[in-house]
Amino acid sequence: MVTNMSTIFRACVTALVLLIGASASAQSLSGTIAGQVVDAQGQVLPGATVTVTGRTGSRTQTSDETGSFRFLALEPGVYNLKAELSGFQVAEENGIALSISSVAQFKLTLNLSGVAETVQVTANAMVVDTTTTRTEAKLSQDLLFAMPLSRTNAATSLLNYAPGVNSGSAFGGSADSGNALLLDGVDTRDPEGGTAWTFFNFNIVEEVQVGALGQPAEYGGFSGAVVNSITKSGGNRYSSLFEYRYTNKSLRGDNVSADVRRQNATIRSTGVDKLNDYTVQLGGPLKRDKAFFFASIQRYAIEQDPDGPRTIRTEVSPRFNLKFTFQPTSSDTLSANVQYDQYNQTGRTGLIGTSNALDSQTLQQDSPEIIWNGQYRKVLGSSSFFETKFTGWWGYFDLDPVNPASTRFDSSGLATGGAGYSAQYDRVRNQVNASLNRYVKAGGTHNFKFGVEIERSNIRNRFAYSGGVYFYDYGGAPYLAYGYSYDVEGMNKRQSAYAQDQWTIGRFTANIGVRYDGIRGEGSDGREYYNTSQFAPRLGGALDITGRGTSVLRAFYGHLYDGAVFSTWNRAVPGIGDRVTFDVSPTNRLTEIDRVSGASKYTVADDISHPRTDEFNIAFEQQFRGVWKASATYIQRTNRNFVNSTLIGGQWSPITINNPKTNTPLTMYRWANRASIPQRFLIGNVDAVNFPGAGDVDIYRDYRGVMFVLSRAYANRFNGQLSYVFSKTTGNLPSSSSGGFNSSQFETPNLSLINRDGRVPLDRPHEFKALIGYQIPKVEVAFNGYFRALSGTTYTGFTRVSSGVFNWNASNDVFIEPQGSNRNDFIRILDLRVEKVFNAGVNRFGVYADLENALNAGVVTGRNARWPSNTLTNLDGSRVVLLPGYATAVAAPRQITIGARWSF
Amino acid sequence: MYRHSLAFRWTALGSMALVASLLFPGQAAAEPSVPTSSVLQTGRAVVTRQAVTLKAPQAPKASASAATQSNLESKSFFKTKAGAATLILFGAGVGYAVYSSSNDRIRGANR
Repeated sequence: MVTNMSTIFRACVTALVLLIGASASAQSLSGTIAGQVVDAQGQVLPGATVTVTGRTGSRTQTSDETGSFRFLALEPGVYNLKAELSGFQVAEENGIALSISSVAQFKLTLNLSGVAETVQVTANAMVVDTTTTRTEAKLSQDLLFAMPLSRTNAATSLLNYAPGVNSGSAFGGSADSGNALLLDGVDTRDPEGGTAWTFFNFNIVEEVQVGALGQPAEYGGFSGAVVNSITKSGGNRYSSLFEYRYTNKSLRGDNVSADVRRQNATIRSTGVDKLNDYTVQLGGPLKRDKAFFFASIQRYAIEQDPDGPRTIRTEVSPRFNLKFTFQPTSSDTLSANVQYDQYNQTGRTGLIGTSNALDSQTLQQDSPEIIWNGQYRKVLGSSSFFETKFTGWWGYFDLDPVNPASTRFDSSGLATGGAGYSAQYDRVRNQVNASLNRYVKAGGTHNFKFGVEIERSNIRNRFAYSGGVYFYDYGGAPYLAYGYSYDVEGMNKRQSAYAQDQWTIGRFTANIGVRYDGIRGEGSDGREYYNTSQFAPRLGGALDITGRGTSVLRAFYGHLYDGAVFSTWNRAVPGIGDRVTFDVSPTNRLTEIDRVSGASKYTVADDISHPRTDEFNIAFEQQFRGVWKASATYIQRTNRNFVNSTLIGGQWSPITINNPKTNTPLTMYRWANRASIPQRFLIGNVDAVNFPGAGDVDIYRDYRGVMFVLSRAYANRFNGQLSYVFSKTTGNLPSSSSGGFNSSQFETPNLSLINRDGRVPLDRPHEFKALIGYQIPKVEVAFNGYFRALSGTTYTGFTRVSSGVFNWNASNDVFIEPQGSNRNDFIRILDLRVEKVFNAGVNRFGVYADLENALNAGVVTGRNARWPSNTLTNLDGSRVVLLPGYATAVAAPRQITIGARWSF
Repeated sequence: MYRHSLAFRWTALGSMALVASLLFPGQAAAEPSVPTSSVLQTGRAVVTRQAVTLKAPQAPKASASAATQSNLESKSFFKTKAGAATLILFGAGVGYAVYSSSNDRIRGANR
């Protein structure tokens, strides 16, 4: 176990060899149980037999000359630990709940043999890790099983339960696209835009780890948070779960108040009309201690009442999961798991917007997918282990109109025909990972980790209007038609490597790491469009303040780089069709009158840098009374290297319009040299942009916050977590999903210079979250609740100015007041689960009711920001005029879902 | 002006069911006993513990007695009533999901 520094060199060489052939398992999906065996006087006891027993069998070590032991690469789960030595009582620690990437340390005290032969302790205390810089939230199986958590999109919805994360934006990061969404380490994100692509059964999740702050170098591809969902596995004991959930529209409330209805008569309480969702699961041994299986099948069928005149939106998703684990020896573990699922949807809107689309004017969606994950793990004694993985997924989604007729818009605002287009989106993601962990004693204790990752992701998008065109009629008579299509392809190529060390000297642990990401983007023409290389330092320290392992002071500074996304550079690739305008005769004969070439006008800058976030945080964490833990963290995140497009060679001249809110002049800018230069754009970093004739702008988005978390481990039938985050996210670039890389915001000064500084839309100054559960003894009724109280999102008044005023390509929504001047309602929403539990031997039966938005709060989550008003046209031609501040969206109403389950 | 009636009727029904279940409680969870004032050293900490219950009874893995635990570790489990019920339910669930994957499938026109 004690190794000299020459082994470090060998480890480095091994990592480099792996870099050539495989890829690194970032995000190790295992944990460690370590400790020391001592006698009653605290003297170390070498030679003791230490056994750890878990779901898949036992491993045994002999304590070394310092009495130490270390079990590496253990699957997450519950373990019992036992130490035996001749002449001493047996000492046990039972019920150790081990999470991934965690180190549970124990000091086992052996007393001389006496009356009692075994001293048994069951572990459940809050563990303070005094060596890491990571601050993270975990949703254990207990919480996942008990709490009324949203299951709509398990990966992203679970993220939002963590402190500091709302609407997918983690600590000011880009919503959704800034987060790494991993399923057993498989990156499930869409390689185009970085948002969630694959969907999985909530019930297959064993544990969810949400890591955001102070992440070591092994974690990459995120500037918000990492959500790692670990799936269940089979063990020596057969286990099973059967669950059925149901709701319908009579179990839904109506939370639209009379005042909101007066403002906007189109608002209705929409939600689930019917849900039928069942899961069957079975896991167990194929051969005791050697081979195991786990199988899970779900059929998720939901009917929703959508906004507008559509009557229904449906989804039917059968999902199949199968996992095999094979342990040929106690130090070798092979696992393979696969998911196949479909995502059959109807009722999606097409060209015709939500306000006007009928059921016959919707799209239906075909979207199957397969996820795979093969992994090999080798434990090399008590000081090192090696992992390698091959992971990935394949999937597509096709959108086809229910009615294949072309869409016809009319000057009256009404629309006829079908949804108007069909589209096919294809994706494949492959990733190979490899990593090596090694403990070394040299000037303290080192925990080295080296790893490499290789990613290849393919994207293809195809789109065409139904019948090749859509029509624009005038007063019911044929007038114009527009044609357009595209077929674009790209490939992300990423190579990453990292090295990190946790170097413990006494009570202080230095966390030193560096991560390299090389990201390239290639088009279907074989041309390289995007090429960046970056090194990200991750530096920090942790101080065990008292030396008792109950309090720690942490500090961290590091660079976080986004994952590879096609959207950053996809506007530069070929495959976009021409935009053609036709004159339409009364007999619908088309005559071409205008054609705008689809050849790309975009070029990617050679010196482009990948988007990054710089993080600094300092945290204090304290355990008290065994089961409680409190922490306070100061967080500072600064976003840099924004990628977006700018107009090449543009000149601007000031013009004045009337600000409809203040009735004062508002200076804006007109493209002055449009006639004399070609219209071309440069995709590059937009941290500082100059608009000749208008001015300069420095692009920024900064997050500052303090976070307080109080957690209680499950004890005396009660557990919970309370958190409060006070924060400020300011900038002139929103944290919406694609705002950072393809919004076209910086092509014109009118969207960049005017009133852009302020609180971004997802800024939430106050955020309080509570997850609390209690099971009443005797009657065995459990109450589990999730309550959040948080500031509403901001919105900014704007006026829509037509393209002719600016001499621009399209109309612009120009801010007429500083960004974030208004805020939607403060949110207070309670979700509650009440469950009656029946235990019969190993069998647990439960009948429950989930009350989402139990208090039926009618929180307004969106308001009209357009000045002087926004007008909606109803199907009957009537119009609804929304004044500024009028409600446009309300939180989902109360929905009661009934569930029943049997598990053992 | 909220429209509650039908939802509240369902809520009331659910509440009555819960009340009924309170009147006829099931068998209490078999929770492992824990020594009081035992000394646990976690992390590098020494923590004097109160009498606490352990792993959450919600979790499926929590409450197996030794006898039934061993039953669950043998294939003979599937010869018991619970084992047979498990196989039947599992088979039915798989069967219907397989049927659904064919019957409910929306196929893209261009595939």
